[in-house]
Amino acid sequence: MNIWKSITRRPLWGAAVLCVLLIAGCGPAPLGTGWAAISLMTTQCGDTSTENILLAYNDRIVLVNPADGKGAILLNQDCKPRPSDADGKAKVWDFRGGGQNLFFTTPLQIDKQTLLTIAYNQHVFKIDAVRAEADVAAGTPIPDLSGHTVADIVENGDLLYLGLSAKDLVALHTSDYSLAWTVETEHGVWSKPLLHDSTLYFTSLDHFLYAADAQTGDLKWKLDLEGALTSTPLYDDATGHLFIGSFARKIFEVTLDGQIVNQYDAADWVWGTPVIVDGILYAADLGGYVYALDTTKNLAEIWKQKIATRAIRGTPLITGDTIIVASRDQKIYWLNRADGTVMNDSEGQPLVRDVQAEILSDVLLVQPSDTLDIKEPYVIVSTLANDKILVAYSLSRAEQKWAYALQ
Amino acid sequence: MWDLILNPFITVITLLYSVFGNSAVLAIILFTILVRLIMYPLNAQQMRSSKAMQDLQPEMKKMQDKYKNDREKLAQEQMRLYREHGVNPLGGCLPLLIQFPIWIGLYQAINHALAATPLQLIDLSGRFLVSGLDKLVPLNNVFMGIDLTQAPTANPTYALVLPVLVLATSWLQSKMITPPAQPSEDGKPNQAQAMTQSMTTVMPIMMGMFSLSFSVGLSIYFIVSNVISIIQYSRQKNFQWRDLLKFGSKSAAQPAPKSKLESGMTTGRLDRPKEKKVTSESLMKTKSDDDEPEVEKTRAEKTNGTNSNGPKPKAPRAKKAAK
Repeated sequence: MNIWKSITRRPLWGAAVLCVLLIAGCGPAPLGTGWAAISLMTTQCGDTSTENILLAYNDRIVLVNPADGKGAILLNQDCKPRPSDADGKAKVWDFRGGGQNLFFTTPLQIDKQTLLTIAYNQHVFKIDAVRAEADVAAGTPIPDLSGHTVADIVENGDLLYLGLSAKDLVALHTSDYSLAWTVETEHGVWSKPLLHDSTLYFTSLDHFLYAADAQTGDLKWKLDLEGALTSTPLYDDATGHLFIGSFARKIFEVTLDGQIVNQYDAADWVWGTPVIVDGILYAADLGGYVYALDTTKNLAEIWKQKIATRAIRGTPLITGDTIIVASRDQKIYWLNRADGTVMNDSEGQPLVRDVQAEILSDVLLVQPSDTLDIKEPYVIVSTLANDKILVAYSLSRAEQKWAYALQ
Repeated sequence: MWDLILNPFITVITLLYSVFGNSAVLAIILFTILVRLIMYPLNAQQMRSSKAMQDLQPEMKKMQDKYKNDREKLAQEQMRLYREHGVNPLGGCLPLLIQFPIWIGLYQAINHALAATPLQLIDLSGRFLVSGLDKLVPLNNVFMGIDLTQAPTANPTYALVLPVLVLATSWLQSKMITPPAQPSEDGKPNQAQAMTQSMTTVMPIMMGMFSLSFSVGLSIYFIVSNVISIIQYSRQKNFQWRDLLKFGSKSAAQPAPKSKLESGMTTGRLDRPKEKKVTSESLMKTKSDDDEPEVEKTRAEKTNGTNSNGPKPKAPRAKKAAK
């Protein structure tokens, strides 16, 4: 009361406080850490194999049924649904890290009953894929690592490879998560390493593409690609080369011994990993452009289209004659694979769907399934809005099938 | 709309980074200084205005006591007082208002430029107004083993000195801008001033606590910004460091002296509406006299003999005021 009186006695102070609140409230919203990691996961319980969408975001890892967008039912050890709770609600697969444990990486499926993931604060969780419980509830901390974890992990026998957000890539023993070796980098490693033929290829924000022995961690070579690198290199069997985009606004073709063979000038930073189908490389950039480049003709441009008004971070999804990209401009676009133009529906309307929430995830394709009762392919994206963290559309008609809220 | 502020700021920080040896710390320090220099006229105007308002406080208090049952009359008298002394009550608020978006932009620009998380890095794309800066991304954010994007608690122990410095400089700054507590004539402590005084303690502690969880880069910004403010304030008000370091100043225990206006010492000043300065004996005792006409100051010394410890006015300004 006294405080209020003293404030009201000082109208200018009151006005100033109001001004601060008003302007601060109108200020740019603080950015979060990352976006949800989504993948498809097949779990096995008894003789039954089930495919679900695995979503890791903030303090949660959940399994979602791709048929109806509802939480996957939690099963007992005898593979029967667990009894509902007191309110009659079915118990669903929902893992919570608790404390400061946040998840932005795709959990690694070791087998059909076990998931392994590392939280942002570098605690390892081994999760029972049937019961949704970790062997150590609060996770096992990995000592003496710098920074955080934003890159997916890769398993190779008794080693786990992990990029660190501050700097370095490390290999951990799977038995006790102790440090096996480190490959030093100048800046963070934010993407999943590529394991190919006993060599680990990985990128760093320090502009270098690294190649290291997968067993010993000995550095084979490193190559300056002129800009920050945030994606996993793509290995193409046909050419035997690596393909990768960079913040230097370029897409590179690199040999396995670290020589640049070809490069293509993009319009903006390239964040996501490209994809190659039938010798054509498809990539998108943060300026909203999508590219088709011929890998058999020195990365010659087949087409280039400005599609979105904001960033396209993820890898384009190629299926049949269609390319699907999702953008930070809150839209999903269906494109003609032949020329990159936006497709039209049967009524001549553009196949663009406004999700009304920013999309930074990759695009998932769920194939029709008799066991799941999915009659047609679904396209699934994850947004930055909790009330529609997952949204599913039919592939052919771009019709929204469901939205999943993270409550 | 914020992009209009953020994008140039981020561009300048990155340019400074490239020019000054790829040092993010140096870029933050120089950029903070640059922005504060650009905002100096606004800041100075705000300080002048708040000082003028501060100087009017004894008179305002008396008016409030006098017209405590007649709010309309009180408002009229207050406006008259402002008019007579050429004080715009919004004069301190408006420059402050203009500066807020800049401060928020500055804070955000540092956060964006350091790009500690994937979302911050992705948000950096398309913000550079000068081509060729892409290749500098992300900025090298390690300085003396300290990761500028991480909180001090996630850094080596010696990084904890930064929150301490934030606390110390914030305290010093708020101590400088807060007038010493003056009790009212009945000897009771002035509630509003007491609250302001307590804010002098609470705010720096809060800033220190925030700095423990904010990135180190922002702590550097806070420290540099505070130091600039301290320098600015110490230059603006013929400032006495020894007065600042007096904990629980004597004035708090003494009743507020009568103002010059009331004691009749400012006769003639009321005839000069553009004269901004209103003095009181209490102000003479505890604060700067640098704007006060020398003739009045001499008169005050003769009458009360209270000014012997006060700071000497600067000759050129005193002469100017005497004119």
